[in-house]
Amino acid sequence: MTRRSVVMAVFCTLLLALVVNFGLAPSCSRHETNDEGTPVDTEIMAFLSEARALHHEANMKEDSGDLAGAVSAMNRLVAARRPHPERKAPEVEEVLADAYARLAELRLKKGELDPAAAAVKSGLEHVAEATYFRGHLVEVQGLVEEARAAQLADAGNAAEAARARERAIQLLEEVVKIQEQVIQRSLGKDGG
Amino acid sequence: MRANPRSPAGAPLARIALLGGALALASGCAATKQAPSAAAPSQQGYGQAGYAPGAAAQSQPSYAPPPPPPAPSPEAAPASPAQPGGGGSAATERSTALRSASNEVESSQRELDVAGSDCRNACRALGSMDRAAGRLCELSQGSDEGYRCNDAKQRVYSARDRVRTTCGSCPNGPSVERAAPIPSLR
Repeated sequence: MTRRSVVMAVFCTLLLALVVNFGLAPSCSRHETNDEGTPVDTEIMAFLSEARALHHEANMKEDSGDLAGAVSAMNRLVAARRPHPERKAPEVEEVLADAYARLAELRLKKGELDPAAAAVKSGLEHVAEATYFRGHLVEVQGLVEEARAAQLADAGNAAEAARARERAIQLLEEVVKIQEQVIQRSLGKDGG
Repeated sequence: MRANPRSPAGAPLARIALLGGALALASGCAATKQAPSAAAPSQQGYGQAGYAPGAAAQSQPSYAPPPPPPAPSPEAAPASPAQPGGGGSAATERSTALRSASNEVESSQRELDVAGSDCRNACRALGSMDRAAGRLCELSQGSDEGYRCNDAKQRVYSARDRVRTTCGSCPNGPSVERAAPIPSLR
């Protein structure tokens, strides 16, 4: 074997190593998995990045008093194209549940109680288990019912107001229990 | 000049090339594995006090892997048998010890990250619980439903104790002091 062919062999080996690297390394990132073994890929990462940007936009709008603009940003988030519609990625579901909770809060701030309740209902479809996100959605639901009770009382409808108030109390009790479970789970039953 | 095919003339270069490729491959994977924790979302909010809108979009991944079993400490690592030509053996032992220590540091870092993520989750849940109990108590004020408020408060006190014991405090979040008012943040 000549010196030249040795150099060629080395060059080819290096090239092969690089090809293998570029061929396989992306798979290292694409197939990062979560607790449930679901891959977290570039599409999910892109969705999460879009969500962050839209929350940021909503923050700026809300800070400047533009509630309609903040609502619009959240509406764009919940309507955004979702990665892998054929399966439910927990990260995506959490983002959607959280976005609906924020949308409901913004609607509530605007005094739009029915759209707020509708946003909570949509959000709850994304989080079935007792997680912080479910608890938070139920919390906003409780606030919506509280506001409804006040509205009904102002309108002189005492009976309906009392029913709304009772619903609000029940929802807030549920929040306390859900978040209690979340804390127990996060810190371990015997922890603390 | 012709190189003897059996001579090791090209071998070192080939080994370097193979090693370089392997290192590049390893570093490629290692670097990409860091990405989700930095860029992925999930649990923490925008750093606002108490509830943070957009909590999901900014936080630590909820899919943080559990900490791996602790790596053996350098002391616990089995000593390599003495080899002829003691210099190589010492270098191998040193390299093993370094690798072991490095694994231990990484493992501890992962444990800390997981613990931090759990406390963030517990703190925001406590914040939500704190606010809900506060609203509930206001709503039941002046009625004969004071027991519902008391029950909610007791649960918040217990949760505060638990979070305080495990996490110490909730920076920019709800109070973990039993005696603090409910809600602790307005």
